[in-house]
Amino acid sequence: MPLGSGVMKGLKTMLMVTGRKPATVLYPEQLRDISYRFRGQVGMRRDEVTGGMTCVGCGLCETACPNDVIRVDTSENEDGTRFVDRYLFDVGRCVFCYFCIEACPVDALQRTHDFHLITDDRRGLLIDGEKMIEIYEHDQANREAEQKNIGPGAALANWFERG
Amino acid sequence: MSSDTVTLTIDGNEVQVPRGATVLQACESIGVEIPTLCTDPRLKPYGACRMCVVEVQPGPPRPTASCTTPAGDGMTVVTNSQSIRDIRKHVIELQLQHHPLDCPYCDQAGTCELQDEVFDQEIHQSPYETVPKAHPEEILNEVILLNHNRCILCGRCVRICDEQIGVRALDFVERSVGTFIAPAQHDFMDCERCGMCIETCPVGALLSRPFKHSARSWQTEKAASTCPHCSVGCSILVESRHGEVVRTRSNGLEEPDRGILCAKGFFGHSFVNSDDRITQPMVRRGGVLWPVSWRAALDAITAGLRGVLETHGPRAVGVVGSPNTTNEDNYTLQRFARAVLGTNNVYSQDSGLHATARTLRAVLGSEVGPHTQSELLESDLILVVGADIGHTHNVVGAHIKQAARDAGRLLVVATRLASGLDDFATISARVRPGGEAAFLSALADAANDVTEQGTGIDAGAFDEISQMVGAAGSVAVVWDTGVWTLGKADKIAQAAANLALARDGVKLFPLAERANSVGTFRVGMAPDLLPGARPLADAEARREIGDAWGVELSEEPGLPFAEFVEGPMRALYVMGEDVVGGAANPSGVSAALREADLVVAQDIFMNATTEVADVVLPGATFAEKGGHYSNFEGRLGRLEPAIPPVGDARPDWEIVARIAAAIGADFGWRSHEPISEELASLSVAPSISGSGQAVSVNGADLPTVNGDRLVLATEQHLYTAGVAGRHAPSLTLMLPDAVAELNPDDAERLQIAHGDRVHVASAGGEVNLKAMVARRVPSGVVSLPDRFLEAAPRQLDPRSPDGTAVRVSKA
Repeated sequence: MPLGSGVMKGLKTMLMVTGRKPATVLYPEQLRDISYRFRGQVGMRRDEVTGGMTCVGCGLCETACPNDVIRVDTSENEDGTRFVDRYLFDVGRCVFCYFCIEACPVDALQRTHDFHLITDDRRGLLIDGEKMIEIYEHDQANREAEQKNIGPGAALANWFERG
Repeated sequence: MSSDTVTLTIDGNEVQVPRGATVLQACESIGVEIPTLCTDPRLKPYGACRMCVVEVQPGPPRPTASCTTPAGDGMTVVTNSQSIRDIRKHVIELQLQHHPLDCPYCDQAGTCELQDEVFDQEIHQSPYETVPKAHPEEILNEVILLNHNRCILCGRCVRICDEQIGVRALDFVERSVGTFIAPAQHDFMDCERCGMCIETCPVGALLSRPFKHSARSWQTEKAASTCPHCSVGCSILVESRHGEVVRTRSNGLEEPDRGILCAKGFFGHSFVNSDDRITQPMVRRGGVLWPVSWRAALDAITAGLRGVLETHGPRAVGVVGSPNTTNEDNYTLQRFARAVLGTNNVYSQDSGLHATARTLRAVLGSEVGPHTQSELLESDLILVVGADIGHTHNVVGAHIKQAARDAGRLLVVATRLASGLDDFATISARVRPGGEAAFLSALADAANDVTEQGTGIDAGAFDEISQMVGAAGSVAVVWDTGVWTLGKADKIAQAAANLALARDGVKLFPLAERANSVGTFRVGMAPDLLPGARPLADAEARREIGDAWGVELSEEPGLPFAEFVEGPMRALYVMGEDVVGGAANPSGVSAALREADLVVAQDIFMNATTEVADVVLPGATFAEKGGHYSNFEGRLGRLEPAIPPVGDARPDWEIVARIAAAIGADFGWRSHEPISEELASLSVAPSISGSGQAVSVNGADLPTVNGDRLVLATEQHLYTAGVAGRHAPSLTLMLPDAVAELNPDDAERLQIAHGDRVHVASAGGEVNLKAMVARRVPSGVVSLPDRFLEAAPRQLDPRSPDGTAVRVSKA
């Protein structure tokens, strides 16, 4: 190998990437572009009538979950309907398979692009239904800004989802 | 081909079934599955749902319901043709016209038979216009709820209430498309609250209110266990979720329950997760109980026991077992007392069954052991004496009703209160409280002249009963040995034994009060008994058991409990029992326990004994430990842990074994199985020949009834279940307060209205209770359901409250 070829290789690589945009961003001030199909935290839709969780407490998400993430505690409401006492979601165990969203019969559980799961206390990863509503609504508000970043294939995905 | 079987062809397969079997049963016998909705193995065929249709040749030229068609010789059955499949699909589609699709909200989802059929028939959309009904849910009573919208009118609830329970609380109302299910007599369903309508409902129409919306059926963990509330020992399925028992259901069709439960079995589990449970060991310091670690509690007990043994010797130490705990628990406690502490002061509080069993053994001998329930139900004549079996042992009562109606058994009911059994009885008569033994004795001995004054039964009815008993081939005498026999259990047992001696074919069925009363006797929880109920005086038994335990057993029997407490007691270990509340003189026992050096109370709830105990330990309930109960037949009912013990509670045998190990005698047990094996190997039935002597029991004249002077009856109510029952919210809903039940005539005469406070006073004391006007109480009797407040009836007469004269007045 001739003397100095290593330096030339290095120079070549440097010249190739000099014109490109940087791959890293200054998180959290800056965020990476997210694919439309990105699987983030599971959110909860707010019920327009009651103002609380849309969840009816059927427990199907709990059953569908492969990783024991969800726990739904229910009791009887005054009018005899099912009341969700507590909806617990252990994000620390979640593998974002979205089986729970598939299972939900009332579309209470929703996909979000939220991936900001960083915490300095694992207890913070155990969130309840109210927190999930907050995550979903925050995510909906951010979607506007994301629209411009949607990747190729978004149109096709849109077509599949909305028909 | 024998005449009692028939041969038919099902889908090309030849099958032989007993004559009288239905086509459905024939299909099931070779594993051909036929969908059904209105079939329940406990019920007779009905043919309501038309799901089980098949084509039968020779037969009508149309599809026939296989559940109601008897299998005939040479029949050809087609179960799965296209037209049959179309009909079944249509049946479901027509049901779905009205059935709401609210499965995500419905408690039955997952165990719903209609839901299963929708999947099996692959129905995705109904071809008919769906018109869901929108009736509000109807609350039938404290525990049962009816959702008319989901009802498919299969009639299983109506039939189980009639055929199995004999209550007929539900019925069809209106006709044709307007038909619905409703309480048969009133808007409020005042039934026995056994929950069997909920159990049998194939859809979510009948619902349990305590369970409603608390869990989905597929989320619960199931454990096959035994009901802890009475000595029938029904097998139950305990369903729990996240360490909490959410419901119990009937489990299988085997003996003794044959697939049915009572209010206590179905709803009486909620004490397990009561907030009042003792969850950690406590030690009394400065008069106050302080929570401590297990180590500290065990240290306090070992130090205390060692001190008493050194200074006062083993005679000053005693242990009390309990019919609420398992055979294994009691056996461990007994071995601890006899082998480690060296004392024979071993007790248990169920005096009724113990006194009865001793008397029967002394008179009839040991070979006349407990009989099985099948023998009871197969007797030609069933004689129910004393307490109302429908309340004390509801499931046996239901089976007796069924035997009387369907199997043609003669049923003679001689109870003190009007009973649900009366409707099915050949003769029913009312015995005065206190006259039961005289009545039985008079039946045995024609010369023994029965007087109305002695038994409360008029001479005409008595003669009729006497003739029937004399003419019957086999007779079963059934009586409860619960709290009402206090102080007279041996008399009643002697009178029943007289009847067994007087003629052949008499079988005696003393029904024990609590889940393991029979177990405490068989394990030998008495000062003069050893495991297997062998007498302590038997040197051979002492040697055998002593060898197995590696010690020499003392031949000196322990003192009777009352003498022990007043006499040499310095230390007492109480397991699962309230010795103060259940004593004849609570204040005396309480004072003696305060004086003692060490009192250890191991229980699930605080009670009068834990009030004075030096150390309180948290025991485990039936749902938290393994082991066995012995039911009234002597059959072992297995317990399976359903949930981990709450808090720091431990199984009772484990606590005792740990104390034994701390004192220096490790039994080496790490689970309950080796205890069961050791107990079984030592339980050699003793051979004792009975005296065979009939001793005439003459009833003293019963107290006269006039004005405000009434006779007291104390028997267990269907909705009371001792201490556990008081902490089970679903049971306390049914009967919230301790009550004094009065006949409407007496109530009117004494100007007492339903719900008034009344004084019930005897020569010995008085109690203040809520009055309840009830038709089941005959005139001249006031009934205090016991096992509600254990002490209440005993305040009136400490020795034998039942049958004493009391004055009742408005408070």
